[in-house]
Amino acid sequence: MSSKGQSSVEFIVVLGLVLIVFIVMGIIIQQKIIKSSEFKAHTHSKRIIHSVAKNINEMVTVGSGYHKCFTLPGEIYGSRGYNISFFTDNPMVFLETEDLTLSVPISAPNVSCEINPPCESFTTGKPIDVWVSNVDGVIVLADHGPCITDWIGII
Amino acid sequence: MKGRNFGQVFTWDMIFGMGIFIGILVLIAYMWDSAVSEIHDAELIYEMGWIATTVGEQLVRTTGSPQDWSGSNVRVYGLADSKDILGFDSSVGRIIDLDKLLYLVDESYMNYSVVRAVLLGTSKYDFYIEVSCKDGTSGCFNDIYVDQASGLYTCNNGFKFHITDHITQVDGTSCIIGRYVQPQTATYITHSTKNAVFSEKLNVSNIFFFGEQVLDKEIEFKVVIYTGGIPSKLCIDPLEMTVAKDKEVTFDITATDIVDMYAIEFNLTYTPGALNYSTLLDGNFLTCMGYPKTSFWDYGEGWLMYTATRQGSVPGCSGNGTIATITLNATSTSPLYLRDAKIVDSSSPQPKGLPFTICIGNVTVT
Repeated sequence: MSSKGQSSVEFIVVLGLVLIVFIVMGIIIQQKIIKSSEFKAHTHSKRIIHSVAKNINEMVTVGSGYHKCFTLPGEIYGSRGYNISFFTDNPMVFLETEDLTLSVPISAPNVSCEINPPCESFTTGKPIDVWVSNVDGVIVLADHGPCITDWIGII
Repeated sequence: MKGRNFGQVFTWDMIFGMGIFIGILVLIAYMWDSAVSEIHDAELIYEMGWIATTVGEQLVRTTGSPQDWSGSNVRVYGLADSKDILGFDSSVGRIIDLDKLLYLVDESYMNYSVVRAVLLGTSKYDFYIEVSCKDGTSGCFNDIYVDQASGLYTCNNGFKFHITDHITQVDGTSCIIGRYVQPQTATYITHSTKNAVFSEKLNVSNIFFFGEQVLDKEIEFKVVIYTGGIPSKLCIDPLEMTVAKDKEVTFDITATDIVDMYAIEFNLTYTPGALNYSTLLDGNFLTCMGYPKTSFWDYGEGWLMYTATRQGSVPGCSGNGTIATITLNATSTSPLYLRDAKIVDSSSPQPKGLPFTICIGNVTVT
């Protein structure tokens, strides 16, 4: 009887140790997954804002009369919505999520954003085709239907 | 037999097995961290490369905003000239308006942080732009007509534009706009905050616009974006000195916020004839912790070269200190430049270059 009891105590101790190891492992893995997820979301956000800035800068460079279409994803990694903002006389494009704000300088001090849904609450969940054009020196982002080509370099 | 019952569950085999398991777990965690760190560095390089390209292209291909901006009213920096095409003022990409370049030089010299904010936004990076002639001379900057700029414009490395009667004359070979750091670490990438991460883009060659005539004067813009926090400085101390004619002027070459300096070399240059070498007193910074060093210096007309290194397998020196104290005879006013400076750490067998910024000095003779 005493032998059985000793074995059970040892078993519980070993099980306890194994459980502690697994719990610690689980916490570490969870933290790393959260970090990786945040990093992916941050990287994805940067790709989006760079893409918007690149297309706007291209419009400024080529001059009045030019236009092109590019696609913005409906959400960033992790099913998160995001906003894109422009401010008068501030040559920047801003991208905001719940826990992140990014800004990138652009070559145009004023950008008119006329897409639907509006840039300030861009949470469609679906990709959207955005037409960017230079109209007499003013950069306009507009929603004129799908891009003609299959896919124009974005993200 | 009773004693063997203890080993039925709690055995050395089990401890050994758990040890291997935990070891593998730690190894996986380390590999995970390493992979994430490498991806992070790659992302950093991508972002800085993107900014370097964007800034370079923006400067040489757009006019900026407003189109005829000067230093005080700028909202977007762009250096391209503009031309009336079918009634519209259109930018002429890759043809530089020298007035705008001079305004950018002036703003950068006077207020780097403002220029940085306009060019790079809220990013955490620093930058410098090296503007030089494609043929390696300073000829492309000389005898250019400028509309509005006048007087003296100084680049952050001491390169000077003198504008007299709307015509330029320059002093130096290449102009640094922004906060310069030594380029020897340009390919050295590390996740450590002690070191810099660089991205460098040799952007374009350009020609000046002169009325309706395009001048065959090509210039290069090298945009360098960097980060990592570079507090280390190699400076002339004091920066500004005033001395009577034919008197001696004495100053230190100082190292500030240095980490692990093992060896250093630099050239001090000045206007030949204006300043002449008198003495050099070796500093004691590299003899920290009691270890000896060797040093060597040589001088000629308008230059002084200095090298010093610690000896053997000893750590480098950190902190602040004096590298050398130099005395020159002054006959007329001259700037003092630290050129081709390099600082390396104690890494063995291949020392690594340390990033640092440089201060320039000036001796005014009254």
